Amino acid sequence: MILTYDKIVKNIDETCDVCVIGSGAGGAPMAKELQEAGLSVILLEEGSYYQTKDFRNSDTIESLIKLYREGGSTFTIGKPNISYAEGRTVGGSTTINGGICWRTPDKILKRWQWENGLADLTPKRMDYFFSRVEEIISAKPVLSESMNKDSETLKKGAIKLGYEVRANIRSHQACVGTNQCLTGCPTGAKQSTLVSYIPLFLKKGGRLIANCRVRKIKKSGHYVTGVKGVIIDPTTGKTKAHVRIRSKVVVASCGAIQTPALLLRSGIHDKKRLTGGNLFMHPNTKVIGVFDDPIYGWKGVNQAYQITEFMGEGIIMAVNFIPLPIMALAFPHYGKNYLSTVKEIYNHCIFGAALIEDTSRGRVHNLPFDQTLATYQLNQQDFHLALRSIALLSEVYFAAGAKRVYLPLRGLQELHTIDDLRKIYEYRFSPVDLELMTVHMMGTCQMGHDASRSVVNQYGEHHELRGLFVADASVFPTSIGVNPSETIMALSTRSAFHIAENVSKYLE
Amino acid sequence: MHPEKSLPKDVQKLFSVLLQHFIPPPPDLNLDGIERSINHILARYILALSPLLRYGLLILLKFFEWGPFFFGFGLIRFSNLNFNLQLKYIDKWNHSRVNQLREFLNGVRGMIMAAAMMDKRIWEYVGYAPEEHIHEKIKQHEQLMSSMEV
Repeated sequence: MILTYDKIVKNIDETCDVCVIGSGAGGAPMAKELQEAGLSVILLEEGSYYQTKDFRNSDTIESLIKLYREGGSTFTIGKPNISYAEGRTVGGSTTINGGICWRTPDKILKRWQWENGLADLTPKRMDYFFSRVEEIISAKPVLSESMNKDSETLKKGAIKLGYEVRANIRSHQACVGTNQCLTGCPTGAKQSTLVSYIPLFLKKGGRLIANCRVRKIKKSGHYVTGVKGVIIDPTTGKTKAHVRIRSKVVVASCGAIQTPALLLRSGIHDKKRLTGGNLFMHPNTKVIGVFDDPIYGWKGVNQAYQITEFMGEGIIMAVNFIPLPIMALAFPHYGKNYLSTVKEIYNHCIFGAALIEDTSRGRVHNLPFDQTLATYQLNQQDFHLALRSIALLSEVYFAAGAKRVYLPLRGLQELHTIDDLRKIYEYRFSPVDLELMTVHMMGTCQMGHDASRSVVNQYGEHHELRGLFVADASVFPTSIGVNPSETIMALSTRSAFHIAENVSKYLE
Repeated sequence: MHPEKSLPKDVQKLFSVLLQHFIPPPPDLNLDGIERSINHILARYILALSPLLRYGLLILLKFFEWGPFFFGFGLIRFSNLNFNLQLKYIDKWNHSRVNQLREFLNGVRGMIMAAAMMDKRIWEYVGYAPEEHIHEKIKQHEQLMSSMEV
């Protein structure tokens, strides 16, 4: 059953075994597994419910309004400010991401075992959960039908330089490369939780309430008792009804910004005030390479390949073409020759990005009027890594035959030959000269064995509040250096199994 | 959201003026009427933002509009400066040592240009045809799924 704002005419007061907040990579697997285990689950989602047919348009701005928090205008404050994207729709950020699948790297799991006391998170023990997730989201190699010249060009440059390239695994059913991932898949090929986990959840009798903003998690002593929220009409922004869900288990899966914000708003603190801290985000640098040959990057799958040669340093590179209206955000020029330049380059260019496994940290803050703010300060190590990633991506482009590259650096926006690369190091840049963006917010309710150094335990259960779980990227103790959605889904699945196996402990 | 509401007239004028500087039409492209459509798109977008972001943006736009005084251009609104002085004023923000001024201009620039780049005349000019492409891909996907089921 799906309830949306237009069908809701009175306040909602329901009781269930488990209330899951957020329908993305964490919440949807949790809801589905628990519903299938025989528990009654209500899944709440702040965003609206859209189906595949609703994504069959080219109105990019409308898609940003409908699918992204603040229309995509969210950013962290720091040096530099960093734009980030948060999906706010049924399916969460999986509805707007590229569907790249990575198991948590072994070196990360080992680190979590050693540094955070998460002894059970071994590759062998996690294998079952990864496999289960991969089957449900149909993780498989990219089809040749979807391949496009931009990814092939990146690969060509990397191979020429002897760099290791990974043919990506994506969650898809016959993806033919529409490349509208950022605004919702119009074919239904991309297996976001919207089309994978949520139908399975609903099939087993699960209840989904969309357009529901949870304002507070309710508690009594050391136990959760449910949640309170409101139904918001997305066309007017006004409250339409109030929601009260009574449950002895609450799972917060709102993402690494909204989950800690919700916990703090609800007066749920941990002893060491770690909630909301430890924010990290895989900052991305973006470089545009221009070629003589036509590329038409918008006509094929995004991120068919990733250059993994520098993973040990904390850098992964891929191409990710963007629709023309969003190009204005990635191409910071303006003026007399703007349109003629865009005409010259748009179908001859590659939009590439390098993801950095960051060690910088930030924090989430609550503001008045139910708003949140994230601060994040790029440290020197990550700043130099960012510069290096720009140089590496530019090098790959030139190796592939680029005639020029555009950089995200104030003061050095174009390079014309590979010899120009040294300018990246000759100029004295500072972090504010960098343009960065990200889509991977993590770490703000970190898990760990030691309650004095973590917010939740290995199953995502809050150390101090029985029945409260966190199941999203907030729980990551460290950056993972790869696309995180499969890790989130696997950890969420594992936590769901734990809850189901110990249900009497929580529901008595 | 707010389909019947529009932005304040002074904001619409500001956006129209900025558009002329950010994306002046080349000689071989007619973009008559684009100001109206970008203001409609930006109204949709800005009015969908949360109140904090929406009012913050509108206040900062006011500061931008009246800012020439602080940059030595005299007591005059940006929109009333002549074209060349407007360009100089924009460049002062764009190259300012104060990071927040640069970031604000970059954000407004991005917003206005993203709205402008929704114009289908620009798509044709650039060679971007997403609707046809989406339509073809939907068919291709359906055929592939059918063949996989068989």
